Amino acid sequence: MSQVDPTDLLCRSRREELTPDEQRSLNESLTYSLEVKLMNEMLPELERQSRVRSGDDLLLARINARVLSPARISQRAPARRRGLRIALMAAAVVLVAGLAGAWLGAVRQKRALPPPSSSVAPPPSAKPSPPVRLMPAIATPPAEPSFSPVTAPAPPPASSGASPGRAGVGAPKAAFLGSASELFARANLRRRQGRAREAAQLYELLLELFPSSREVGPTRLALGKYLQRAEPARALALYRAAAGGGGALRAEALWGVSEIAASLRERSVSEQALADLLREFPDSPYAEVARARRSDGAR
Amino acid sequence: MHWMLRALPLRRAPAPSGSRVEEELSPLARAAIDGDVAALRTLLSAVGPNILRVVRRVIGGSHPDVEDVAQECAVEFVSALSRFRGESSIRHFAARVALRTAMNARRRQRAAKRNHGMLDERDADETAGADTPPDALVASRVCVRLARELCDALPPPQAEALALHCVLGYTMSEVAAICGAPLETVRSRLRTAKAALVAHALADPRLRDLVEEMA
Repeated sequence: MSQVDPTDLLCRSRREELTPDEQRSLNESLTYSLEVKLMNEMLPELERQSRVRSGDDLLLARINARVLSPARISQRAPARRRGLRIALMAAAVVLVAGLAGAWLGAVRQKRALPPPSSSVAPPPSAKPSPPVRLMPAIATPPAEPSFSPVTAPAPPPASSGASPGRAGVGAPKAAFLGSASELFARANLRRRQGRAREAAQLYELLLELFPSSREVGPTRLALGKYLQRAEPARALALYRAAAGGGGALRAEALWGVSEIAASLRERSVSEQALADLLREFPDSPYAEVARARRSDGAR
Repeated sequence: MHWMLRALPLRRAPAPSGSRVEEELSPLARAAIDGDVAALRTLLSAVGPNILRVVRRVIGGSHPDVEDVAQECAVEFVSALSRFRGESSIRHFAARVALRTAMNARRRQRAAKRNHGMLDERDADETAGADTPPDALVASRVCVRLARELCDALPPPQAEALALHCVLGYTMSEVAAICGAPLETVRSRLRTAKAALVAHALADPRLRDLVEEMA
């Protein structure tokens, strides 16, 4: 007969699956086994930390909506199609390289051949130009684009210094030469690394440098979320601006407006945002919670 | 004697209906793998609470990045779905993917904080108020912290086994099924990991009372 591990019994006891004999056995092992005792301390605390909380349904709905957004789903091509695409791309690269090689070979061969007729031939005193000198003229054009300047707009000289209200934004601004998407990715990385303040500075910088880029909407939402507690009025303005931008983010922005306005006791603004949310996005994950909140408020 | 009472159930749970749920989820998983977005949505709604539970247990229930990490886990789950071959249940598969992603996120965050000299010795949950008296919570929280730190430090197979068994509360046979490893292998990994946990507990002065109770 195999011996049942006491920590296994403990795991099953948390699910209330033990027989009385097994429970007795577990209680005995709790008196002599430190590892069982440690786990017995740990599991209730972990259960407390991971219990279901109010707002979890909304949190999960938000996550699902983001994970299942059309842009993300379209990226998730089936493996077979992905393989086919890679094979096609490889074939195209090989074809282009082969054609370029053939063309280059033909050009070299042409240069190496003597002139076909005496009517266009240079005078005997003139030396024929060596084919080597022509090579750079063929080779240089493809290399040129790599030296072209970065396409991002350079910051205007008047605004190169940090504004008084945005301490810390000036330094990265002076150094930044990338695009809005690069800046957005960098800010998101900082946020994920737990460097929230730096992330917020980069979001501010993005709004200042690229006010008409595609990244402005999600940036406003991210910054609004960061400022929600410290500067609710500014967060509300950011959420309102994001909501004004329309698009897929409007539902989330309206929900943010409603939440912050409620915390600022601006009841009419909060209710208006909820009403807009329900009217424009009746099937969104926020709508169900918004309905519940409105019915709670009516009671 | 409160520790002994904790192991005792207060009420009987209803009969487990796990197999029935799995029967319902398996066709959904197959449809989702074939590219059915509606099935994927339903599947994600079904495993979402499990993913959230794993994330809260690994990084802490009050951690500010719970939502971000849970989203990362959900994205990983969707990406990994094409590798699901039905060898374990879809919930266990989701739990394993979420566990690995959450552990990676935790290691990444700790490394980033360490690099910036911001490593806070306390977990977010240690500051949270609770209805339980603080003295009774200290040992539990220290134990949880030790387990999480060990999961960061141990070799990946041992860390995974320890997290599945001690943090997520799966039995050894369930851990073996989730990892796709023989039971004896899992037992051996856990033996080493639990020995390390006991060694850390013996060395921790905050657990002296708990250790002395055993003496």
